[in-house]
This record gives sequence, C-alpha cells and structure tokens, in this order.
Amino acid sequence: MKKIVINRVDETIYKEVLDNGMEVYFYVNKNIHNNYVTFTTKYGSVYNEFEDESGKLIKVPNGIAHFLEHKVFVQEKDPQPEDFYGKNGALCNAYTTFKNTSYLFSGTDNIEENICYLLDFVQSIYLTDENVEDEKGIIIQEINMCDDRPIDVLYEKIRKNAIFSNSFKESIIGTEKEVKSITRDLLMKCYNRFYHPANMFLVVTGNFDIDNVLNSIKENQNGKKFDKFRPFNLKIYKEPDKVVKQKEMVNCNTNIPKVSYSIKIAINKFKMDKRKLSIYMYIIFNLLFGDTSSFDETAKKDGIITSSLFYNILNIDTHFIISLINSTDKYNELIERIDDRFKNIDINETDFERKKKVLISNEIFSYENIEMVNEMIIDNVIFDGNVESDIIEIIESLNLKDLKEIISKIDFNNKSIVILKNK
Amino acid sequence: MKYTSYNMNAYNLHIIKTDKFKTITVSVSFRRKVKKEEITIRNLLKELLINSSYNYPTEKSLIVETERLYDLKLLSSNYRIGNYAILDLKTRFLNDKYTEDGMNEESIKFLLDLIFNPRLDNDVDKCKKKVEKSIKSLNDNKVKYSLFKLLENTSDMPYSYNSYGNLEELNKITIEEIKNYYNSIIKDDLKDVYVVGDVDDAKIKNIFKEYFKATTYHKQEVNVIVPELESNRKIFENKEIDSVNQTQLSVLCGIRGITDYERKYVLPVYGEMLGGTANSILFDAVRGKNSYAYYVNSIVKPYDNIMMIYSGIDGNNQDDVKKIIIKSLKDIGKGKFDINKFDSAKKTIVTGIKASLDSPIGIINNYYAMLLVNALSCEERINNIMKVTVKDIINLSKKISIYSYFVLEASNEENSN
Repeated sequence: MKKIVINRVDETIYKEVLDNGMEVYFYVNKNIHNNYVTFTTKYGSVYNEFEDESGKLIKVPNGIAHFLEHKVFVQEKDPQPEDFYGKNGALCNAYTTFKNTSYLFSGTDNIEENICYLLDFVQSIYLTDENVEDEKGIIIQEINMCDDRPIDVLYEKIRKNAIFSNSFKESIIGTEKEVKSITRDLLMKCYNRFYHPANMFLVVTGNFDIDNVLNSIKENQNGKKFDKFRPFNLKIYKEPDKVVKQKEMVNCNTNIPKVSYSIKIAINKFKMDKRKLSIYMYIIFNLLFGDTSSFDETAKKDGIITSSLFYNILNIDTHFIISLINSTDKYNELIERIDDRFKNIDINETDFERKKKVLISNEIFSYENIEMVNEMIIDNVIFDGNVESDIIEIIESLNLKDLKEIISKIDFNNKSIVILKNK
Repeated sequence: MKYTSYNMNAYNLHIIKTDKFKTITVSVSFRRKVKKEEITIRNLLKELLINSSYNYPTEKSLIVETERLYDLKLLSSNYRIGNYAILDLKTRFLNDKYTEDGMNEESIKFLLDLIFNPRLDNDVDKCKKKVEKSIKSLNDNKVKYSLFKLLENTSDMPYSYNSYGNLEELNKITIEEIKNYYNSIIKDDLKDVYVVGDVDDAKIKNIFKEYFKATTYHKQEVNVIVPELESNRKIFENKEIDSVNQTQLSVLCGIRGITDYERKYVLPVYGEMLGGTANSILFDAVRGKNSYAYYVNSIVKPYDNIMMIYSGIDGNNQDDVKKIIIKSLKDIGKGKFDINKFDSAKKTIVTGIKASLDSPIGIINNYYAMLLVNALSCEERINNIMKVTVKDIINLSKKISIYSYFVLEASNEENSN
C-alpha cells in the first residue's frame, strides 16, 4: 500500500491497486462517526465517441452515461440499493459529470457490508427493453425540471456558444430526442466498455479500520471475473480557438435577467503544469472580479450588481472556458465594465499574496469534512490520475512574474456573452 | 467533548470544548416571537451586519480582513422554528495552533465588532437591493414557489409569511427604523452564544466579558409550538398556470392533537418513511412503480403542526398522482406498509443524529434544540427513536389529514412533446 502524505497539512491518504486494476484510496479520521464512500468510473457525458472492442470508432447518443447511472441503480432481484442502504441506516446516491460517474453511500455502521454491496450493485447491470423504455419517462421529467431552472439554461447556452466540436458542448443529460433514441444494446455496450475495474476507483473516507476494509474489498473482487481490460482511445477533437457566438439574447421565464461573460483560452499557449495553470486562472479572475476587487466595490456602489460575480472555470482539455456570471437588470453596463476592466489590468502584490494565504487556509479547512476530502481525491484522480501531495508548496511557488506573463497571453476579446431575460 | 454553559446575565455563553476539529466555530443567535411585519427589516439587518462596521467601513475592507484572518468564514442567516424568528451570525476560523498566535482572539473580536459597531447607515441601498433580489428569486425556484403558494392561504399562521420579505415594505424602510430595530434586537432578543473547538474556557469567557456589549435582559420566552390548523370538511385547492415544462403538485397536511413524544420521535419516523428519501413509500409509489414523477418528497414541521408533500410531475398524471398520495396516507393508517421501510426510517434518523456530531454546526444545533424545545441528549434521542412502534405510527397517522392542494400547472408541456 502506498502512503501519500499531504505535506504541511499533516494528513495521510493511502492508495492500493488491486490485481484487477482497480484503485482504492483511504482516508481515516478517528474523531468522527460517519463514513462516506464513492465508487467512480472514469466515464462521463463527454465520452460519446470511442473505440469499441474491435477498435472501431463509434458514436453514441448524448446522455448515455447519465442514463446508465439511472439503470445501474436498478437491480434484477431485491433488495434495491435504496432498500439495502436504508436497512443499514445509510443513504445512497449517484451523479454523472462530464468526465466521471460516481456511486456513493454515507452511513455510520456496517461499512464493510455496505462497501461490498456498492461494488456488487455497480458491477452488475439488469437491462431489459421494457425497463429501458420505462426509465425514459423519468429522465424526460428530469430534463423538464432542468429546463425550468434559468441558471441551468444559462450554463447550457454558455457551452453551446463557446465550443464548436468538443463534446463538452453537449448537455450531460441529453435532449429528449437523444434520450428517446437510446437502446438496451447501446447501454450494454457502454457499460461493458467503461465499467471495467481497471477504469474505476473506490474512495473510502471516514472512521474505519483500513486492513479490515481492504481485506473485504479484495475478497469481493477476487470472487469476480473480468475480461482483460483493453484501453480505449477517444475521438480527438480539433477545437478552434474562437468562440461560436459572440453574443446571444435568450428568452426565459425569470424575474431578474441572468448574464454570463465567457472567455475561451487555448491551453497549449502555456508551457506550464496544468494544475498550476488552473490555480493561476482562478487567482487572476478572483483578483480582477472577486469580492475584494475594486471592480466589485464600484459596481456594487453604482448599483450595477448586488452580489459579487460568480466565476466558473471549465476545463475542456484543449481550452479553458472561464465564465463570469451574475443576475442583474443592468447587464449592459456590467458587460461594458468587464470590457473596460480587461483593457487595463493591474495586479497588486499584497492582494496576490493574500489570495495565496486564502488558498492555503482552504486546504486545511477541507480536511474538516470527509465529503470534501473524498471529492478532492476524485477530482485529483480524474484530473491527472494522481493525488497531489505538495499542493501547499505549489500554491506557495506561485509568483507575480508568471501571473503577469499568463495575463499577457490571454486574448480577452475572445468572448461569448449570453443574456437570459423575459421577453 | 465537554459542555459548559455560563449565564452572562444578558446572554448565555455555551462552550463546547473538543479536539475533534482544526477550526473554532462561534455562533451568536438572537431570537424573538416571529412577526410578519418584521421579516423584511430583519432580512435587511442580516445583510447590513456583515457588510461593514466602524472599524471596517466598507464591504471590501471587511472581506480583506476575513482573508487576513486566514480566510475566516462569516455567515448570517434568518430562519424560523415554530413561533421563533432566529437571526444567526456565525464564524468559523482555523484554530491558531495551525496559523499564528493570537488569531483566535482577533477572530472572535472581529465577529463581535460587526455585531456591536455596525454601520447601519452605510450601503443601505446596496443591501436593500440584495434583499430585493432574494425576494424576486423565489420565482426562479418552482419548488420553493409552489410551497410558498401552498402555505400562503392558511390565515395568519407563521409559515404563511413570505420568509424572503415584502418589496413594498423594503422600499419604505428608513435608516432610523433600521437603527431602532437593531437596538431592540440587542436589548430585547434572547441571546445565546456557542463556541465549539479546542479552546480554553477561561480565555473565551474573558473575551466575551470584554467585547459582548449587551447588558439589559428582557426575558420574553414564547411557546415555540404554532397553533394547529382548523379542520376542514372540504379540501382546499388552488391552481396557477405558468410557462414551465414540469407541473408541481404540492399537498399540505394538518397535524392535530399530538403528544410531545409523538412530536419528537414518532413524527420524524413517519415523515422519513413516507417521503424522506429515495427509499420512501411515496417515492416507490409515484416514481418507482408508475414512472409518474421525477421526484416526490415530504417534509414534516413538528413545531408548525404541519406536513408538506411536493412532487414534480407530468401534468397529464395529476389526478393519478393525487390518488396515489391519498392511498399511501390511508394505507399507513391501516398498518399496510413495508416493515422494512419503517425500520430503515428509524435507522436513517439514528445515523443522522450520530453524524450531526461530526460537524461543529451539527453540535451547536443539538445544544440549541435542547434549549428551544427541551430536546434530550443524542443518546436518549437515539434510544427513543428506536423504541417507536408500528402501533405508534398507526395512531399518529389518524391525527394527520390533508388540508389543501396547490398545483403549478405547466403550459409548455404540449409544445415540448
């Protein structure tokens, strides 16, 4: 077992790779009662074109990863996962993102039994033509629910208008038409391809005995047979650096108009570690528009915004899509001010150093909560396959010179604006 | 974990010493009887208190200070439990064992400075806009909107009040009114302070003695339990049409004549098994077996004597979903339910109680509940939950009946198909 010491935070994460290729991560906190366990496949909504078993590139409808998440939850024989975990006083759930699908439970007791069940239900699937048809009705209700949330509509538009070909453009859940076109065979094909142990990892966080839990996991996995894993290649997208649409007004049932201002930045412009680059991007937008910026102070004072801009960084492998989001009646003034801000950027060293201190404090804060530790491990593994042990040192190594160089390489005119408002 | 409570005359100081956390959490709670006409100004005050103070005269300078204090987290909130309106100011910061000496005291002083030296005449318009935005945002969340409409028509019950406030009232509020209301909160509200973390009791007590500047104490305890809804022969029904894709069906139930034991132990079990999780009776009936809804949940409000059921459905299935909900309620009364769901509900609640001890906020909530509703210790609560019987559930279900429906009907549905 590999010991990963998170330097300067004095916390330890353990990692074991099983014979079948599955990775298992452990984080123990002896002071608490609860356990939070996730089982993740490195497969999300963006994997919609991939090589099948014979090496042929195939395209599947959008929304399949999310559809599978629903179906993996249904077992051929009772108990169903909700009933099983309910019986142990535990809660279970699942979610699908662009790059992963995770199944999880949290509960104070019976951790070994609960983990084995998690492995069992995710590693088996029960699909019939009939139960696939039935699920479509539920998923279409879910699509309707998202369409009724203005902020969800905004996020969909941001990606559609910034991305040309990359599959990050598509919605995770799919459209009604796409969902209706999904069949049992397609689901089976994707399940077999991506739910292989060598493409999955388990993260166990809470108060438990590592040896006992690891033994149960090994016993469970040794009792199952899997074909040899054939690594797959994904379609490589040639994504243009330009945005699709510079500006769009969308009619939407909302009291306060919602606005997003997104910048598309090509990652290959920067010769720098990607993790470091992501942190720099976060700091740049925080310094320019965060709640301690002069932009924020004057925009609030002048009644342009009432709450600070929210900034979202989406990494689509080839590009960053960085979006500034707010809801305000004065969206035109806001857009003008953001334009102006990008024209004359000044960064102050004291502010920069303070932001580093904030980031370091937050690394310590996150160990107060096992769910946050668990999510941090998932994010790290999905990001580059590694849990970063020197994160504090990385943050400390950031410097003003690099920051300014990054800023000089960003084309702030490469923007896409979306406004959502009532007719 | 060691709990000590000090009577500081004007307020109670509760210190929970524990080495479980790397942080220290401080919560200052003000409470009084909820009044409809005070909701808006209380929401405005909630914003003003964490916007600036005489020592940190702008919002920016205040946030810069939180970052200097190793990203101290600051939160103000208003909520209601039964008849009590509660205004809460909370802070959480890294114990100075992990940062630099003296930061614990500086951080607590910072919070108390915001409370006792507020600049109530600064950025009033800005803070009013924030409240205005939250009032208007109700329309963006169809679940919250539907529940608000469901509760709105219950005469003058505290839960019928719009907790976001009222736009007309907001625009009329003057700086003088804000100052008067602030003074009355400091003087008249019941005040409780909770400190959770690896702290030295004596040091904490001294900091509060020096900086917690409230001296008078008007003890006005109120009965926390809201009166019951009157029984109605005919169930009320309201409907609204909106240009949305999904129809919202919500149901209000009145709870009448329950005992303290039922309120604290039987009702939570009942609510959990009826519609608490994806393992619930309603979820199975409405989503699992019939694919009628994406979600269906129930919420019990023990101190309001009500229960709400809400679901997002395909509008064409309205009547069927209603029938299923009515049948599910009736079946519980006849004891016709899966015993596993009953056992699961109890265990889920027990897990929740145990897990609450893993977070400082959970710990504070447990102690505050002891004070507000005479809650017992976690161990005793767990024992009592486990003792709840099927017969208890059947008896309780006779005291619950449907009062009204609210339907937010989708007008977009036909277009989308």
